[in-house]
Amino acid sequence: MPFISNGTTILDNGAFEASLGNLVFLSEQTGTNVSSINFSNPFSSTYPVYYFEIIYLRSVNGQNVTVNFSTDSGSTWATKTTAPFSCQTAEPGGENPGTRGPQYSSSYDLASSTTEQTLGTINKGGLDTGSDSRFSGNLYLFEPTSTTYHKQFMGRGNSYAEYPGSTDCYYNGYLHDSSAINYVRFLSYSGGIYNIDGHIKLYGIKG
Amino acid sequence: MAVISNGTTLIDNGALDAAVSTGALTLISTSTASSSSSVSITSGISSSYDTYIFEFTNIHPATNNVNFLFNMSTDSGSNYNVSKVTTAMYSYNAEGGTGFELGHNNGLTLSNGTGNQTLLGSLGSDADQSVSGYLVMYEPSSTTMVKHFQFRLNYHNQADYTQEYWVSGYGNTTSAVNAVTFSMSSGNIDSGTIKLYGVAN
Repeated sequence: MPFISNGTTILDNGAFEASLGNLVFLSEQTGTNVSSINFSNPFSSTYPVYYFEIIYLRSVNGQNVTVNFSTDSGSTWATKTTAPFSCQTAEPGGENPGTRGPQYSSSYDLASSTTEQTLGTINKGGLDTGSDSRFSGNLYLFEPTSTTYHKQFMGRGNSYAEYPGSTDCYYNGYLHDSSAINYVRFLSYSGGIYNIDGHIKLYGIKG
Repeated sequence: MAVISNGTTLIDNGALDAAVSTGALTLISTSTASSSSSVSITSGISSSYDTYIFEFTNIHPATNNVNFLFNMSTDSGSNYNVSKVTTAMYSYNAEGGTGFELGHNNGLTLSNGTGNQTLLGSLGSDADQSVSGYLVMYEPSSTTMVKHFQFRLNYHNQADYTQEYWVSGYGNTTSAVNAVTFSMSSGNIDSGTIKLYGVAN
């Protein structure tokens, strides 16, 4: 039986029809010294936009942190074209002092590539190795279950980089794939895979 | 009395059932400036949420051509002096079509400076001029990590152009940050609101 107030249906069929907020927490994945942090089958057509909140991601040996997307549960990885950029400020006494940017992160852009997209688009090296040195930021993925469109993504993160210093990192692009995305992995990659720590939350944004 | 719809309990004992999905963005506080020398938020920043979002709406200075400032505290607002390492990018476009630019303002960056972080410059004080935008802070209560933060602010430059600043960095401390303050480089914050949200699990 519906619950109707002043002509408006508040709830019906075991669910609220009235808005209870548009940012909906879906899941959290946490890793400590793991090879990757993964989201398996996280998407549905319920939400047009998904939002990852990346909190204190760290490569245990100071490499960079990356993301990749799959349409077949991680067997293969989507082709991507991306255009990252950044700006940075080094701490005094570091090996690369001063400020730089905004600058195109030419070392980390992808042109029709299936390799990992680097999140810490630092134009030199990776994250600092200190125990307090991490990467935090976000990632928006638009309509990942679409079977019509290529998938747009964009995000922004701040990293404690190795020089040492702060880097404001912007990463964006699209997946050349009209199949639904069903797997996302975050890892540390620099020619090889290195273990990571951190936690990542996934939210759906209602249309 | 419980409210049960189609066999599903939605409300009971004066609260929504735990299985009901509610919005994750939780309003913690609203601070309203009114001829205020500063707006300091000294409560609500805790370990309750991993991520906090500050929403600035029409922050209007009393004095023309001023800078908007920010600092953090680890002692509940007794001292605002957290060491910070920051970057400051901007873009602008003039109303009259006389110029545009994307760049980095080295003058605003800090390399472990403990003073106020300038978030933007040359804010206008005409009645229709203000700054709006947001700040994201990640796990400010951590006692292990440095404190990442990201601003994105758009404002009306006193020279009549739209300008946006992206100020980002980290508070270079492993103490918990539990208060923040906002002010102008000269004069009061005449009006405006700052809403603090926690992003819930």
